[in-house]
Amino acid sequence: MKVLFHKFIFIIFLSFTIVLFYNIQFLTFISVFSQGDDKKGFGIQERERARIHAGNNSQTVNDDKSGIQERERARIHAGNDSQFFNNDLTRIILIITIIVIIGVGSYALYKIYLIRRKSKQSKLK
Amino acid sequence: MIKKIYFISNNNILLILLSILFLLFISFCYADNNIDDNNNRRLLHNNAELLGWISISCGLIANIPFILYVRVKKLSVKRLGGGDSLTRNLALEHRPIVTFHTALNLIGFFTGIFHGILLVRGIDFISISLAIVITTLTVSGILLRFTKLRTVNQFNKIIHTHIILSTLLVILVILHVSSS
Repeated sequence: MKVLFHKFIFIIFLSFTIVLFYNIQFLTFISVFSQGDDKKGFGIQERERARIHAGNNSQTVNDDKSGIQERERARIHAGNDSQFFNNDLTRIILIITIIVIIGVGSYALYKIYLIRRKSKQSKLK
Repeated sequence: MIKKIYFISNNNILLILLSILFLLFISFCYADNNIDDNNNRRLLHNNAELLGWISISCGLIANIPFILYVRVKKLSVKRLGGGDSLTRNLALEHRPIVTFHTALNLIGFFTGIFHGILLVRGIDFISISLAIVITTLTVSGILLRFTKLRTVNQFNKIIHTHIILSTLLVILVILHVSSS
């Protein structure tokens, strides 16, 4: 089994290598949190800015005179809105998750308390 | 509290760390600045998605055989008794199977984290819930294996093996996949 484990890890390592090497244009964090590509920050601010930009129909706003295409792109981008603020149902899921974790933690503590009390009682007897 | 890493040999730790580091730093090796922004973003998105699928696959491979093994072991103890050769053989396999379970789950966890970092812009409440549940389960699992303090072990065992948390994790993964 130990030998198998080593082989398995090796196979996983190898398969990751193959899969990721095939996607050879894998990008850096620099382009993820890019300052150079689009001069934008994180998602919400970015979408908000894109929305404002899309709403602004002036032809003279852009320095590079690529107004229409750029605005169209911005509009599409703004349309792809984050669900972070819109979907109320997902908020309930987060609240349920937190309640469940706190509940399970409390249950575990209560169980430990019971076990300790039981062991103390048995010691006294 | 953390006294000794007693169940994974140094070689295994090295392999796990190498796998994780490889996943984390692969992106730095293949930056191609010549491709235009749209292509870059599409490729990035595809690769980040792939990491998510790798994470889910690791979770499935790590947990389904482990759960089956635990069930079979319990069943054999119940039906055949502790003295039976099958039960004893199954008990002997416990440590390597737990090692396998831990290693793959750790790889899946870090792959999931990396997936989350890459796609942090599309964050929603389901993703946050998923991250919280996965982190809770992983931390409790690590503490369960690496601590010897009895109370802490009991606490982590209850959390790690609780059916509600496991069910919640499965539901959140399904919701996350369907909503993304």
